[in-house]
Amino acid sequence: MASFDGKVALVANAGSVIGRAVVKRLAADGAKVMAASSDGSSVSGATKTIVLDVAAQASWESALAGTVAALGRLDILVTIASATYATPKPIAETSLAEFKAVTTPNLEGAFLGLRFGIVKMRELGHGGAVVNVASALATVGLPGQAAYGASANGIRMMTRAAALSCADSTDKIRVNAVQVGLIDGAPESDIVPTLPKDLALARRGTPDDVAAAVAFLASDRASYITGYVLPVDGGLMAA
Amino acid sequence: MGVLSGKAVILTGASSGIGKGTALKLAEASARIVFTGRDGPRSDETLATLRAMGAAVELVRLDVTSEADWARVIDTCLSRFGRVDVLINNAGDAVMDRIEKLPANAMNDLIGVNVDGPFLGMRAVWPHMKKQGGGLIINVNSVAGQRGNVNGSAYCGSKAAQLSLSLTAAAEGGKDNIRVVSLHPGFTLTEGLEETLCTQPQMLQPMIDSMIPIKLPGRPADMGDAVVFLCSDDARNLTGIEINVDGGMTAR
Repeated sequence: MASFDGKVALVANAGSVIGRAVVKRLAADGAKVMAASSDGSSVSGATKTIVLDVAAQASWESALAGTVAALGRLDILVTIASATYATPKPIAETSLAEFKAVTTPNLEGAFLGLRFGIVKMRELGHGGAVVNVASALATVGLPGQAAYGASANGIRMMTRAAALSCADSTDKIRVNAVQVGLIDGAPESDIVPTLPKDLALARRGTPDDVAAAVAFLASDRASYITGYVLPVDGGLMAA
Repeated sequence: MGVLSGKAVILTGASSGIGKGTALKLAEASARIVFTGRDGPRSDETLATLRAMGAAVELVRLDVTSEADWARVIDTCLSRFGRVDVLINNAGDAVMDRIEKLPANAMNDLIGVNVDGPFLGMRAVWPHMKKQGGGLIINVNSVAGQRGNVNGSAYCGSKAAQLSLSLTAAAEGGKDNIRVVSLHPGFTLTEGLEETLCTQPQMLQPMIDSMIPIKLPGRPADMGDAVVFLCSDDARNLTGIEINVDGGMTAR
């Protein structure tokens, strides 16, 4: 179980429902975890906490530097896109500001995390793994969710592009993503409050299910997996 | 005690290659295993290796296109271990050539092993998994089942059919708590390929460099690692998915 002994992880949006589960799981598997959130509040299992505004370049640079300064290295970076509209918004009724309030933290946040996270990992020279948590709305269209779906699919394709640009074996940096379906307490469960009748497993997943998938992709058990997007969705994509 | 302690797994095609690599990882994780293999001497070797690791294991002959053989394999698992938690349809076959050069029966033959095989296996194991409250089926596919490939018309066609079979079984399986996952290895260095790589590295390495983003072939152990994850409680919310273990091949 302790596959992350001696490893250091930075988890962005660590205060979100999924973020908390990811911090707890990586710590349980032996990692030292820096929990980053907009207010730097404490998260159970985290070794340290730090303030991170995911939409600000300078904030990413200082959170990454701060992680290495406090914990000595950086092996795992987890980004979590969790910004959504408060209520569904048909595209013809959405202002650009409302659209950007979702896409800026989600898509630009993941971009900045990859952009500066990869540079930091290269600088340290010991390889690493990035896991971006995005939504099943990357591949399932829903009315009223243009911004969330667009940012999720953007993260999906950015994950693939980043994985390919790191694929040179001297880098040893893998980039993967998880796309989540209906998870207790996560945005998708608010967006789709009743279970779809064709959902294979006919139950919601838990934040721990997502954390287990993130832990797998971040571990050496997935050393041959890169540029892959793993759905954790109870069979939402099957039919 | 490994993460799969107590689980009973049926694994087809484990005399060599990805199947053997998977069997070793399953045994490391303490799973109990019934495996099948076409190659007699190599199957015996796999059996001896697994037993030496201390695994509870049985070797059974199986023609994947025979309903009677499938019944025998499942009976063996039930009588030996009392249950069947996981079926891994790994046995497969390939014939590679340009479409106009392939024998006329190429597609039919591959459909037999790559599609009828998993279909009959799932069909045979289904009532037992349903009765015991659920189970997991992993169908080992290929990146060739997700996109076209020069010389692969019959192979890709059969694997694409297998993928559709897996997704449909996943959709049907939910109500019985049977999960179905499609595993897609990329270019994997099996014993046969390893021999070629040793004797003709000048042929194989440039192909690997151009085909695989991380410029390394996969190893059977990599596929085994993914299988152990899929069989563990960590993957309990996963069904109807295609999991790619391919060094970035399908990211392109």
